[in-house]
Amino acid sequence: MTAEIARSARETDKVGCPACALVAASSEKRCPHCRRRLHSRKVQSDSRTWAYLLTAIFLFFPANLLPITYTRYLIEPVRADTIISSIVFLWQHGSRLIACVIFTTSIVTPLCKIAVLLYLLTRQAPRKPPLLPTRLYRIIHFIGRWSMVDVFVVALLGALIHGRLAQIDPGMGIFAFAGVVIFTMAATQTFDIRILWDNYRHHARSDH
Amino acid sequence: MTCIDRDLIACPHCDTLHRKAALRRGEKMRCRCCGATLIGNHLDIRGAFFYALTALILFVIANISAFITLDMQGESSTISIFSSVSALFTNGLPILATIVLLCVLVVPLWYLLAVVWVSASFRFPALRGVARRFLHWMHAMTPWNMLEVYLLGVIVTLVKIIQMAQVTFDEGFWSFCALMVCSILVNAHFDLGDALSETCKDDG
Repeated sequence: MTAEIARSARETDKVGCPACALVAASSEKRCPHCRRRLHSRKVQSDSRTWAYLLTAIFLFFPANLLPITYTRYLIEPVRADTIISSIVFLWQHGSRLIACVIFTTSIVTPLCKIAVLLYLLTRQAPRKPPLLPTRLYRIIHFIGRWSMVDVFVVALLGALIHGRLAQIDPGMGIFAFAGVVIFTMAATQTFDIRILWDNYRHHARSDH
Repeated sequence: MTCIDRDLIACPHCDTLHRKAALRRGEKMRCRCCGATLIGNHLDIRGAFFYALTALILFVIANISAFITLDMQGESSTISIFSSVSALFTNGLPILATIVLLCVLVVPLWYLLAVVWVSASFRFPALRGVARRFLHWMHAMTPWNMLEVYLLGVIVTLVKIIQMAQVTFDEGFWSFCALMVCSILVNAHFDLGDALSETCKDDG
């Protein structure tokens, strides 16, 4: 059993450069090849990830409760839209496909990211090889940036529709939402999935 | 530099040490423990160089020429990507403007320049020193390159305003779409980790 658990770079006193994949001795401060600062594990990854994640969770409420746009069109009264109400409006008056896209990127994706990060942070001592957490981590790393769509939409609307007949102004909600996206992305980047593997290896070896 | 073993590679996700395998065309090297791709083996420096160069030219065209024209009951306005960002600044929205500026203009431009530079450094070793400085920055930057996310944002915006105003697509929009295709091709021909181990190998 023990023989089957492959050795990690850390256990053999080595460190892999995340940028250029060079394996150097752990005494090196910087990668001899690309001069990137080397750390065997990301520095304080746990507490920094918690900090980013909690910020994102706090911002998630204003992001969904406050209006993201104020629309003034012709003589109609000014309409304030939150993320949810703009999705409902699109579903009723625009395209259902686009409404689904926005629902996925603006509601489902941030919630998934927060849920996965919470799961990763609270289950740090796996007894089985943490294959599922590693897969989830890869997924949220990949889908992270797609939640930015709504921010770009509001930015474009604010720049395009700014005339006498119609005007669209961004509300506080979109700033909070941009914060959610940026902080969950930062949390994903600071989290170090290798720590789960370290703990698993430690557990598996001591068990034997 | 005596203690470096260039045959070794550590998995970025589980830190398992592997010995680099000799790969044939189309083969990938995956981690034995967690299945992460260690060597993608789809590096084509020549292809990456030309696609990135094309993408750079398209990037400039897409940014300076007209993107879309809105016609709202006689009131017409034309914007380019660049002018939409500066419009945000003048409309008093510096935070949104900065986000768009960074994710859609600065980072993609920087990424494409870096790809061109790195691929050129295989032919001209003099560029290699700077290429390495570029590279470890590039690694941290990739998630913030949001060109295709922006394109999706444009499409959603158009669906939203199609009832309010008449929309015409200008050359900027089409070159942006072409840029998208080029940037996908760049990613298909260029792999950061692989490119770096290649430059590593030459140093010997």
